[in-house]
Amino acid sequence: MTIATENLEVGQELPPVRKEISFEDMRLFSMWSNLNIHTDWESAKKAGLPAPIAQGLMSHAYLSEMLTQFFGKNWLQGGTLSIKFIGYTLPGDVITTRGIVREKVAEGSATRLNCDVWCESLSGEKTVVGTASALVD
Amino acid sequence: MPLRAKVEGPVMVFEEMEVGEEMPELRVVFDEDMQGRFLAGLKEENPWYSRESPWGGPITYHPLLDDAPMEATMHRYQYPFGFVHAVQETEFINPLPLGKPARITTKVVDKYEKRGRGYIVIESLIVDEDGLEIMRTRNHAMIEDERVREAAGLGLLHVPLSSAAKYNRGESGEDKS
Repeated sequence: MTIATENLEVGQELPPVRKEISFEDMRLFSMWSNLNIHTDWESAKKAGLPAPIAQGLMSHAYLSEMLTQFFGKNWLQGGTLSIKFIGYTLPGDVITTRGIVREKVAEGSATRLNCDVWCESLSGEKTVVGTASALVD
Repeated sequence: MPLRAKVEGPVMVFEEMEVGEEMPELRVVFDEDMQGRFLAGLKEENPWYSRESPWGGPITYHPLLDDAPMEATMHRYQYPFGFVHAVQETEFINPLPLGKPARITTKVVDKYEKRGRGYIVIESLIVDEDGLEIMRTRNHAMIEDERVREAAGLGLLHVPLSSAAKYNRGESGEDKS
C-alpha cells in the first residue's frame, strides 16, 4: 500500500481517492448528531441551503485515506495535516482528493515529504485546500 | 465522535472567550460496531480498522478523533462555533488500538480577528489510558455573535457562511464550511 520513499521526486502526484457522497453517507458520518444542516433537509432549508451539506471533516477523512495509502504507517506516526474548508459538498457530489509532493526536507536521519493537498468536485472546483507531511523511509 | 451531549450551558460569545480556558475532559472508547458504521459512511475499507494493522490488531479510525475540539466544547457551550469551521490542523502521533480507552483534554489556545470576524482556536490532545500521546488536533472556528443568536433562534446548530442571502455578504474566497 505504501508507495512513498525518499527517492520520490518533487512534483510527484499522490494517487487520488474518489468518493461519491450520498445523504445516507452524511447521516452515518454524523450518527451522533441531532438534526442539523448535515443530517436533516428541514434544518438545511431553514438555513437557506439547497440541501444538507456534508461535514467538512468528511473531506478531512478522505484526505487522510489518501495519505494513509501513500505514506503507510508513517502517516499515523508523525504525519501532519492542515486544511482550510472553502466550499460545500452536497448529497450526490463526487469528490476527488489530490496531492503533490512540494518539497523534501531532511529531518534527523530521515526525510520528510511536504505535500500540497486538496479536494475537488467533478467540475474541478476546490472545496478543501491545505498541506500534509510525513516521514518516508 | 459519537458522544455529543446536549448541554444547557451558555452560548459562546467571541469577546468573552479567553485563551487558556479549558473545556471538560472527556474519556472515550470506540468499539467495532460504532467504528464500522462510521467507516461505512466514508466507504473506507482499509483492513487496519477492522482486522489487522501494522501494529497488530485493528486500530481506531483516527478521523473519529478529529472532532475532539468541537466535541469537548459542546459539553460546555451551546452553539459553540456559530458556525464556520474554517481550518483543521492535526498531528498524528501514535495509533490507538480499537477498544482502548482514550482521554481528551481541550483548551482555547488562540483567538484572532480576520476580515472583521472573530475566530477561536481550540486544541485537543488525545492520549491513551497509559498516557501515550495519540493525536493533537486544532479547530479554527469563526464566532460571529449575531449569527450565533440567529442560529439559536432558528434552532440550528450551525449557520454556514453564505448559506442564505441574509448571511451572504458578497465576500469572495471566504470559508464556507
